[in-house]
Amino acid sequence: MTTASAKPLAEQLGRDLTLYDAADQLFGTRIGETLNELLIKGLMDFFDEGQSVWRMPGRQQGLFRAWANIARRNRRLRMRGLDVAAILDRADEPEAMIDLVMTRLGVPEQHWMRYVTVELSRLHGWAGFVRWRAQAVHYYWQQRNPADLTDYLAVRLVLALALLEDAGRRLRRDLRWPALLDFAAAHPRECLLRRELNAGTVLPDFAHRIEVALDAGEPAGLDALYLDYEREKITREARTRARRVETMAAAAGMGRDALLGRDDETLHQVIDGVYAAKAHEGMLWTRSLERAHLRWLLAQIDAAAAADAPGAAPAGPMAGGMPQGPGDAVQALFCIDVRSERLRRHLEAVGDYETFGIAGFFGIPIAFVEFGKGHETALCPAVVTPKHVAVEMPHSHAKHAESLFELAHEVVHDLKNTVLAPYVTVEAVGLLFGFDMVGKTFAPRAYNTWRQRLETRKPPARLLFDKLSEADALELVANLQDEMVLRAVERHFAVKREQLTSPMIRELRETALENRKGQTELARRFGLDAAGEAVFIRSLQVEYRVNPDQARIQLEHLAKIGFRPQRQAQLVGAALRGIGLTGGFGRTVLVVGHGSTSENNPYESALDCGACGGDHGLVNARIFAAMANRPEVRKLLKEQGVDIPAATRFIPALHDTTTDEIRLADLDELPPALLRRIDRICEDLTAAGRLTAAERCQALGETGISGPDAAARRVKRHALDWTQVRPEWGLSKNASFVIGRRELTQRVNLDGRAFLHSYDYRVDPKGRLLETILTGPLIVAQWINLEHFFSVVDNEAFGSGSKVYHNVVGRFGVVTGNLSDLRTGLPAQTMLRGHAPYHQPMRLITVIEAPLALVEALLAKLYKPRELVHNGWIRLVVLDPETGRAQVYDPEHREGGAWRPQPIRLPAWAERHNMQAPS
Amino acid sequence: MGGLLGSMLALPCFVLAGLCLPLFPLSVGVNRLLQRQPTRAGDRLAQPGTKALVLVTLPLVGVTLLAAGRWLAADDGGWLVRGFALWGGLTSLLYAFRLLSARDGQIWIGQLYTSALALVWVGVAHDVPPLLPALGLALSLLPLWFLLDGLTRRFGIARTGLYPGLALRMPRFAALFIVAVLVAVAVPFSPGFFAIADLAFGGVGANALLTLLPLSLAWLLWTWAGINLLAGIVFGEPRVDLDYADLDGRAVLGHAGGMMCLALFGLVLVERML
Repeated sequence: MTTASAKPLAEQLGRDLTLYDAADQLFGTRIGETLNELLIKGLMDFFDEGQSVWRMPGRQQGLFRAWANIARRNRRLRMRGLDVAAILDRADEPEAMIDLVMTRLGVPEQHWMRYVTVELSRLHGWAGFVRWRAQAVHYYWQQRNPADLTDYLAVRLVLALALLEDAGRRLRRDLRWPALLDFAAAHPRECLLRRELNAGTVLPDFAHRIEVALDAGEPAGLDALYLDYEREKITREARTRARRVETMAAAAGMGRDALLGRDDETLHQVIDGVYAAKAHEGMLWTRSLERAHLRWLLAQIDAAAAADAPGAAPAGPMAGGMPQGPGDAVQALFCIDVRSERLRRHLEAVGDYETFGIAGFFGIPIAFVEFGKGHETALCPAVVTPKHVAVEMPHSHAKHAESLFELAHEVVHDLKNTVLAPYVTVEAVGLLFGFDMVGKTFAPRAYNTWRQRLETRKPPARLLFDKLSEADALELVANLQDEMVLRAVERHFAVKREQLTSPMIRELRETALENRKGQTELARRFGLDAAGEAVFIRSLQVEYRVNPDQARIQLEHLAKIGFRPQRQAQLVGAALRGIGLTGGFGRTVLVVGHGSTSENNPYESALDCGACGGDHGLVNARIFAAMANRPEVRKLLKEQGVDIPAATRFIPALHDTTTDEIRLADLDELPPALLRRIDRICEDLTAAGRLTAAERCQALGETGISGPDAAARRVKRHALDWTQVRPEWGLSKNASFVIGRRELTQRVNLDGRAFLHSYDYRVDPKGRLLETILTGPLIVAQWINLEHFFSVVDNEAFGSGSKVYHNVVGRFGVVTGNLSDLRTGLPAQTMLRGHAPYHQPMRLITVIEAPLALVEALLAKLYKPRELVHNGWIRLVVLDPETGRAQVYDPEHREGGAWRPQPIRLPAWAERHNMQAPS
Repeated sequence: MGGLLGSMLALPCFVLAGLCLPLFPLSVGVNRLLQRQPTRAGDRLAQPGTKALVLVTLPLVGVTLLAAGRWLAADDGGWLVRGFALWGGLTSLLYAFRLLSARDGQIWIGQLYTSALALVWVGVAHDVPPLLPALGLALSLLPLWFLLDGLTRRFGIARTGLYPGLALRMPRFAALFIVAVLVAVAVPFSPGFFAIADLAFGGVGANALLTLLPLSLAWLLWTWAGINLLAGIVFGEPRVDLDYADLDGRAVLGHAGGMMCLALFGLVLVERML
């Protein structure tokens, strides 16, 4: 028999099965299910990040202790027969508890590691989340409510022990490790029948007989039934195998008679061969897909180069150089994201545009504090920890008056989120939600436009990203402290500003900061006694935080804001050199970040920019453009060999990948003479966006699209439609990563499947720029690729299943239904079209245009990329311009020379002005 | 008739009716019969057709005995009928609760039959004519009965958890099965629903609590059990080691036709209610 239950229990216990799994299979209990349910409820309570109205108390003590405090008093557990309190009373520390439970269950110590691994894999989503939380030491909720895998395991094991003891009492059996193994050894046939029956692998027509025989408990009857069952099962398995082989043979053109004409031994070999191949079938298809795509890609590059050769028709305005002269063309920097490929292709086709691919944070790693938000958001790849902060500051500091609509909105949502209010207010406010639902469902575009009019718009703001001088920082802190002093004086003594002088305020501030002592002018003027004055100063220090420690912290925070001009030049220079843009600048350079728009979508950040930590890329684009426009930065860049003409303007923009709209930003900072030119660029961007939308509509399977206009309207609707489960395909179908000149792929329709990073090896003789690409963007792209790979090969296990059943839990994750493992990976709607995979599971085909020796040297130096390439997680191809060969790396032949060369033509190089190696 | 003697004579009639419109523990017999496995070749009592006949005729016999009992008790048997109504309500809830853990198709349908038909007593206490509700509730089980029999013939047993995911392997059967389960648990617009509504509207004026509590609780539990049944048979990941054969067109038409007839019967019930 081939089912899992046919393996001996002793072999599987602690390796594939926990004790309660074994009990469930042997005695039909449902301990595993109940355990998961109880554990998930506890985890949802503990990890909640603001969704619950009544929060779990004592969470700051850590997961195990907080849970234990509740569990000791949990009457529902007691009513179920679980004596959790008695177990918890035996140990206080999670480590001691794990030791206690494992000992009490009788698990031999040499099996503990494996047993724990099996336990952790039972809810791998939750276990993974807890592990991540434990490592995210700077994560606010982790600092506030700490948890780690030891806590998690202790909670799980306590529940498992309680459930096993309860089941043991009810079944009158010992369910500990030695007893179960003894039972399996003494009754191997009964054991197998029980496992077949309870694991759902039994032959259905035997189920009733087995139940009756098990109830009767007669060994002779069980033995006889076992023999019957075994014979029947083997017969049916053989029949199934034979039928499958027959079907396969028929598909291969071999008839039934021809197949049956073979002798038994041959047939057995065929069957065994087929089943042996089946075990490797997935990888076979993966390799096949990869090989087909790789051949196609190399053939396309070769063909494009042939078409680009002297005498061939030009591909577009920018092909083979810049025929209009560098000043006329518009250059545009796009994220390497696969979704940029379509837009770049169309933009190049509609006008004089030269596009570049660069990681979407544009080499500016920042922690961003948005206006009105109290926290920092890391806008950079997950592999980078930002050291600098950028702050959004409104143009004016007018008091923010909330509109009536927002006030009503807040009241309604507060009512909804309280415990009892929904029951009593549903008649009163329920209708409002009804209007909302009707509007969102039947007219999403019109309704959202109307809602946006009601909502207060964010005031215009600029980004503070320049390093503050020490004097500026001190002044800023002093101003803040003076503001606090004024508020305190007004509140404590009802004294207005006009009754105070600046020296009086300064004196109070300095007293609170402990820089001076003695009576203050305020006390003298308003007749305050010494005690009253001391209380007031103390209040300033504690309540208003005007104290030396707070001042130091504020100065430390301010020190993190912004970049010095040298650093700005360094970042801008590195980014431009990294994509080979060191000369030949046009008058306009667009810096295009990207983001997405969707409603009712917990996976929204998966559609945003991965290089910006799953956020929109506009902030990075604005900072990059502002830095590159600075005269002092340009002066420093010129010293580095990157000469940006004075007439060149960098303009930030945002590409909405759901609607394919491109919105230019910071236009108010442009000289008026440029505005006419901007109009034309906007028209071009709109046209390219519509063409992209039309192409994407085809991929989305949209019907009734008459042209690009209709396509643009359709995708806009998707973005605003809260019932839309697939606003866009995102990065699905990603297949390759091309690191090299745009000319390599400019004539090729890559169908939105390639990450494109511009790179010119000629400005990078030492490989420093390529090293940055290999250790940053390539790693991120490979993560994205593998996330898609695993999500599509088994969407239920590694993906997150259908979005339709998803619910947001605790504001940090998603579960299926109301209670399940925390879902990881991508949803079915991103991976599958119906039941068929839309994304093709391929490892990232990485094409690098550079000399082979340079790439080999870097691989020898860089651990992570080397491991990825050598272990076959990335399919690497090097287009060596010096030898004119494509070198395909084959990880399975590492010993005898893994590079498989093949000739390839590459496009001619377009010379740039002022192209220089980095200094 | 009437008077004490009439009531005394009515009692055996009601008890006999309690075998057909099952009251616990008299319900054991009906459930045994519905779960009967063939003991020998040609065991007619174990034939699905015989059992289906029992499902339809028992309520008719029960209603006849009820009518006889009511005639014998005349106006003096109110206390007796109220007692039986309470007994019926408790029986219905007991079997509805047990239904939640039933995995075997025959046990499932036997318990649902008991739970549903016992509710007829609740209506009888408030002078609701029992014939149409009893028939409505019993006939609603027939499509599911025949589909479960189909499963038994295909897989040797009709049971949840043994061959999940039929929606993927036998989509036509699964679609009919879903409709049949919904009809059996009396979802709105099925004859069972109108039968329950008939019992509820007839009795709510006399005693809202004693009428609505058993009806609504039992109905809730049936729905829950119905979802369990669907989850264990229709949904989930199908096994690869079994042979699946979906219904052919004729069988689909046959089952669908039967359900259409039931829908028409539902209309009759609606007309009665109106």
